[in-house]
Parts: sequence; structure tokens; C-alpha cells
Amino acid sequence: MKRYVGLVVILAAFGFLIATSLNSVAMKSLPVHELRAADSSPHSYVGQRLRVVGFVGKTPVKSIEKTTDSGIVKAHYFTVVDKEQTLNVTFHDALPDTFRAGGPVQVDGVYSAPGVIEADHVLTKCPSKYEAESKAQSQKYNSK
Amino acid sequence: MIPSIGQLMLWLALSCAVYGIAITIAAYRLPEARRQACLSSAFNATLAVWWLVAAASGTLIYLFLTDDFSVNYVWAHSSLAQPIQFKVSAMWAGQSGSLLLWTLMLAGYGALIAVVGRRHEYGGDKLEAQLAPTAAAVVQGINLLFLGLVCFVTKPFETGPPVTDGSGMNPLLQNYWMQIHPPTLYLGYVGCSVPFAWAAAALLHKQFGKDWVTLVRRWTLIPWLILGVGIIMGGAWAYETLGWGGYWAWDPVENASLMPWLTATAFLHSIMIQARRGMLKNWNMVLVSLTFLLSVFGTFLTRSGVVSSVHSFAESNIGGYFLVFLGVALVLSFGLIIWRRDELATEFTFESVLSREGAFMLNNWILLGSAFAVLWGTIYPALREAIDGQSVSVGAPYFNKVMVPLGLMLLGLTGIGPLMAWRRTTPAALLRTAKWPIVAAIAAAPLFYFLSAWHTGAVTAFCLGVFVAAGIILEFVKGTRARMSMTDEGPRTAFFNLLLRNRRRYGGYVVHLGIVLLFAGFAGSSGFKIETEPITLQKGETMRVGEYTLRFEGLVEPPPGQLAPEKQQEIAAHMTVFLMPPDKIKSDTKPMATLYPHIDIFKLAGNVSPEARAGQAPQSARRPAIMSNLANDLYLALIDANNEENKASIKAYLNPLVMWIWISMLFFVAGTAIAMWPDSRATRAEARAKADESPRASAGAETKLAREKALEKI
Repeated sequence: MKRYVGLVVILAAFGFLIATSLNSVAMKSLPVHELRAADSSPHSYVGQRLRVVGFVGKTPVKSIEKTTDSGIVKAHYFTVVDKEQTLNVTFHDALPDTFRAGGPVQVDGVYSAPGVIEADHVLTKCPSKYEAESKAQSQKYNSK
Repeated sequence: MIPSIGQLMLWLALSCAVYGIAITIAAYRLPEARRQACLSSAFNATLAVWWLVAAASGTLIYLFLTDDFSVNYVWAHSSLAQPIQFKVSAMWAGQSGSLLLWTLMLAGYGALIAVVGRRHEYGGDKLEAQLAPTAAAVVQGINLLFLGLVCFVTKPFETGPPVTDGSGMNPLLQNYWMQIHPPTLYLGYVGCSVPFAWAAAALLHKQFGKDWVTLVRRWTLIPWLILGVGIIMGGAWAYETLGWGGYWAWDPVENASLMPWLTATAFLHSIMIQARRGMLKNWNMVLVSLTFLLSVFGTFLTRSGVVSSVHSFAESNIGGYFLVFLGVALVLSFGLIIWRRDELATEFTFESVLSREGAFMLNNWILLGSAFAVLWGTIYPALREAIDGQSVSVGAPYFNKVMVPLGLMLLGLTGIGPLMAWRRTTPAALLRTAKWPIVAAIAAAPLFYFLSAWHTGAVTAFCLGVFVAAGIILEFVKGTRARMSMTDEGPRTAFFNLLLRNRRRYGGYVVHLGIVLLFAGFAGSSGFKIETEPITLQKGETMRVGEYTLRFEGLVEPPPGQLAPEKQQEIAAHMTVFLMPPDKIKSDTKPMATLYPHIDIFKLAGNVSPEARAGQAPQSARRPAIMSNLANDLYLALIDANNEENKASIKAYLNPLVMWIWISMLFFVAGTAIAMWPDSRATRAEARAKADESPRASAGAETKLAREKALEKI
């Protein structure tokens, strides 16, 4: 009997640890158009920490140099679009290697004002190479 | 022609596997007299599967080496210009080829089991030989899934229209780690099937006595070690080449490899209780099965596309097969355990929580809890999506929050467990044995106060690390002293004999020391990491990270002709490193090091039409430059390079104690090797003990035996 009490206590502790951790750090993840659609509703996401997914917009990344105590730091401004909705992103760290206009991207950060996110993480998915190209197309080109 | 031969060999291998299973089942149904012939045939089938899959794998590599782009898989992962070593490793660069590698390794393990079993009469009385035919058949049963996939679903030898050049391997994979890490990890992963096969065989033959424990321990240690080393190697690959300053990201695929390793670790501990006290037999069977099921589940995660991961295969659509297989394996393995529940009943019960058994049990729960926490965090987004359509993400913060306290508890147990006596111990007795380790840990604590910053988790880890290490050193000292007083050996001889006589125990301690180093590395690099923002530097300008000053001396490119063939361009930032503030640096001050973080820009390899290429910028990768020493790593990444203005953006990291993570690997290997080394002395002592049981044994031999036994117990 004593053993089962111990077991229940341990299991409860695990459950508690996992549940509280998950609640405090699991982040809502949503596409740009859903985020923007909620702006004017009472359920606006302004002020929340979110993950927003979409595609890097065609407007070129604007990088502005700022002088800080540690040296010159760049702030990057770019857009993430999805279903004709746009989100403006501010980001201070290094953009990933695979960051390209039109590429899929996810942005983590605080949604500071409608349409603006202060990102702390920008992640791109590796686009697999030449996705559009099938082997048949390649053969056509080869035989030219 | 050649691709068809490869495919044919796979079909033959599948047939042989089916035949091998059938004939093994038949062998145990037929009368005794015909059994041997059937098992002999099953043995041949097991070896045939291995040779056929090996030949098929060789064929695929041959097709890569001869640039046969009519084979779709070769076309997709190789090109004429691809260096030869990457043509070979392209075999496992994609879905079907990596499944073939999996099949190959599984077939290899099967053959190994059979060959080991064949050393005695196959299927005979000796335990290994008795269980080997069944274990080999179980391995073949698992291989049916993988062989079936490469035969019918995702065929590596599938051909299409002939083309003159392939599309090339992803340049990010063109790295020497690509030759080492995936095969190592797979070998460990696939190896998780092997203890399961021995366990299933043991359940079917009702043989789970002491001999089985020895056997399954050995066959678990091998994949456990390889999987662990493979995981650390993956971290090293990410750290060295990806330029984001870390080695572990809690990516679903990383998690997938960690889960079976955690349950295997739990198994290696609780099997000791079975060996010593005949307890927990059913629990051990559950752990072996879980380890195997989690290894398959990990493969499912990687290849089904249910979770998004940087490692996922783009073209994955084979998740369903894994899910079905997983269901069948779950039912069969747990069904077997329930079927044998009476035979698996415990011989003894727990006497006290405060005992070695109690510590092992707690260790098991924490390891299993960790595996579950990782599993839950990994699949939670997919579950939420399926249940209420909400899309959430669970990242590193969750895992760190859960795993840090669990890890610290585990580290503490690593120290306390070995100090506890079997059966029962009193708090006073425990305190007496743990006195010096506790004193050492408390004495070390103030030292950590002088660290650059306070980090509770990391300092706790350091103190616990000191506690564990002190406990282990004390054990070594006590053992050596006891040997010295019982024999006339000098300290050095006594120490080595101690290691040799009690290989399992002291090998385990060496692994524990590795764990301490691993935790020190984790604690240092996560608790005291310094990271700058990317700083834009003009030539001659400096930046600071920790105590270091970094000066940018200009952008450099390798001279023409020295550029690697797969690269279009390589831009490096010439950085000099000084260990002093910038105002102390004079024009003649010699830098302590020069580092070249760089950006590789890859050629668009292969023969690809301009239309497909339009709009695709060439792939590039940031390659960090690292200056390592035992205290910390200075890690520089070149973020942007502006050639016209000769400006560079540099991000610097100072990662303390990372080196110890790689060093811990040596302890794992050494400790496991010590623990696994065949115990010829033990067998000799056993043989002598048997001889001594005869009435003619002299009194002298008896006392010698008693002394021998006392020494073994130290």
C-alpha cells in the first residue's frame, strides 16, 4: 500500500511539472491572416507572445545601423505575408542563412501593435532544392 | 539492368526473411528430431538476408559511384561534380536509401545474433544458442517492415528517364560529419531492436534467469553506447558547422533519438536489481520493449511529417506503415509480458526505500519520466492540432524547464545510489558513507560564488558534480586500500586489479564520471554563456565578448584554385583575438589567436534548367570559427559581409566548458569497454568453484576460494 502512495505522489509530481511548464511556455502559433483578422475584434493578440507563420514579403529587408555601447548593431525590418495580409517585423539578431523573399518563415516575438511584431527568433524552413523541378523537366533541359 | 539486380536482391532478402521466420516457427512445432535441420536452415536464411541486403547496398553505392542518373534516387542526391566521399554518403541522404541502411544494419545485427548462437549447438542447451534462433527470427520480423518498405513503397532502385547529370546533394550535408553521424546514430537506433529480440526470445522460452541478465546486458550496452555517442556527435556537427552557437535545440528528431536512450539507461540500471535480487523481471521486460517501441516511434516521427523538424524528410508519406507496425509491436510485446506474468513474478520484495534497490527504482522513474516529458513536449503540438485545431508550439523553454530539475535529481542519485547498501540502510549509515562527498560538495560551493554570474541551476549541477565525483573517487580509494590490506599488492597493482576484478561496477563508475563531465558542460554552456548581438565592424575596429577583444582585420577569400569544388564563393572575416581590453592593445601587441569565421556560398550543382533556377539564390551557410580550451570556447560567426566597403557583421559567443561534453564521450566509451570486457577470470573462478564442490577439494583450495570471493566483493 505504501508503495502505491509513493507511486501516486511521484506521478502527480511529474504531471504537475509537465503541465505547469507546458502552460507557461507553450506558445500560440498562427498564420498572418488569422492574426490580422483578430486585430479589430475583442480577441486581439496585441501584447501577447506568439509564433507567426507566413512567407517572407517581396519588399526588400531594410537594415538600419544603430550605434550602441557594444558597437554598431543592425536592426532588420521586413514583412511576412500570407493570404494578402502583411505583418511588419523588427528583428535585431542574425537572419538565418536560408532567409529569402517568398520563402516560408516563422517569427517568434511580442505582438506589440496591430501589424507589428518585435521578433526575437526568426526561423526559416530549408526549402528543398529545386522543388518545382521534376526529373522529367530536368531531362527536357538536358536533351536541349 | 544493374538497378533491377539491386531490387531483385531486396526481394530475395524479403523472401529469405519470411522463410527464416516460418522455418523457425516450424522448428519448434515439429518433433525434436527434425528441429536441428530446420534451425540450421533458419540460420542460413538469416545469413542470406544479410548478404543479400549488403549486396543491394553495395549495388546502390556502385550506382552512385558510376553516376547512373537513370536511378531516381541517385539523380536526386548526387551529381557529376559531387566529391567521391559524398557520393558514397549520398546513399543515406534521402528517404529510401536511409531505409536501406536501416535494413542493412538490422540484417547485420540478426546475422551477429545467429553467428554468436552458432558457436554452440544452434538451438541447443547453452542459453545464447538456445535463444539465438528465436531472437534472430524476431529481428527478421522487425526487418519485414523495413524490407517491405524498400521493396514496395519507397524503392531506392526505381528508375526514370535517363539524364546526364543529377541534382546534387544538399550542400549543407556535404560535410565530413555526414559520413560519421548518421551511420553511427542508426547503428545505435537499430540496435535497440536487439535487446528486445533477446527479451522476446526469453519470454517465449521462459528463460530469464541470471544467464539471460548477463546476456541481455551485454547486448544492450553496445547499442546504448553507440546511440549515446551518435547523439553527442550530432551535437558536435550542429555546433561546429551551423553557426548558431549551440549543440542541442530540442528539435523533434533530436528528441526522438534521446527517448530510447533514456529508457535503455533505465533498463541498464534496473537489470542490476534483477541480477542481484531476482526482482523487477516484468518491469525490465517493459523497459526493453519501451526502448524498442520508442526507437520505432522516433522513426515514425522523422518520416511521417506529423511534426515539423529541420531533419524531416520532405517527401515523407510512409508514416502510416510505421503506425500500424507500432500498434502490432505494442500489442505483441505487452501481450507476451502479460502472458508470462506468472513466470515473471518477483522472488523478493523491497525491504526499504532507503536501499540500493530504492535508489535504482527512483532512477528508473526519473529516467522514464524524462522520456515521457520529452515525448509529451514533442507530440503535444500535433495532439492539440488534432484535438481542437489549435496550433501551438513547444520549444526549448519547456524542455529546459522540465528537464533541468529532472536532470539534477538524476545527477544527485548518481552520487547517492552507489553509496547505499543493498536491501536496507539507515539514514545514519548513509550519512556516514556520504560524509566526505557531502563535505567536498559544500566546500566547493563558495568557489562557484566567484563565477562571473550566479546561476542557481548551474551551481547546483556543479556542486552535485563534485559530490558524485568525490563519492566515486572515495569508492576507488576504499577498494584499492581493501585490496592492499588483503593482498600484498602495491597501490598501482591493487588499483588496476580492482578495475579488472569488478569490471561492471568500476566501469559503471567511469561512465558516471563521464555523466558528471557532461552535466558540467551543459551547466557551463547554458548557465554562463555570453552572446553578443551581430556587431558591424570596419577594418581595424574591435568588439568585446567576455574578457576577449576581437579586432576585424578585413575580409579575405581563398586564392583561386583553392576553393572547394562545391563552392561558388567563400568569404572569411580575418579576426584577431586579444585577452585584454581594447585600450591596452598597442600596434605591436601580438594577438593570442587568429580566427576566420566564414560564409560558404554553394554552386547550384547539377544540370538544372534556368527556369527552375530562376529566383533561387544560391544556398549559403555560415561556418563558425571556434577557439576551444578546457575553460571555454570563443565562437565567432560571420553574419554579413560587405565586400565593397570591407565591412563585416560578427556575432560572438563565449561558451564555457563545452569541451567537456566531447571529453565525456571518451569516458562513456572507456567505461563501457571496461564493463563489457569478457570476464575470463570470473569464468575461471566459476569453473574452479565447481571443481571445489567435489569431495576431493582440499581445505587449502577452499580458503583460497573464500578469499577470492571476498576480493570480488570489494
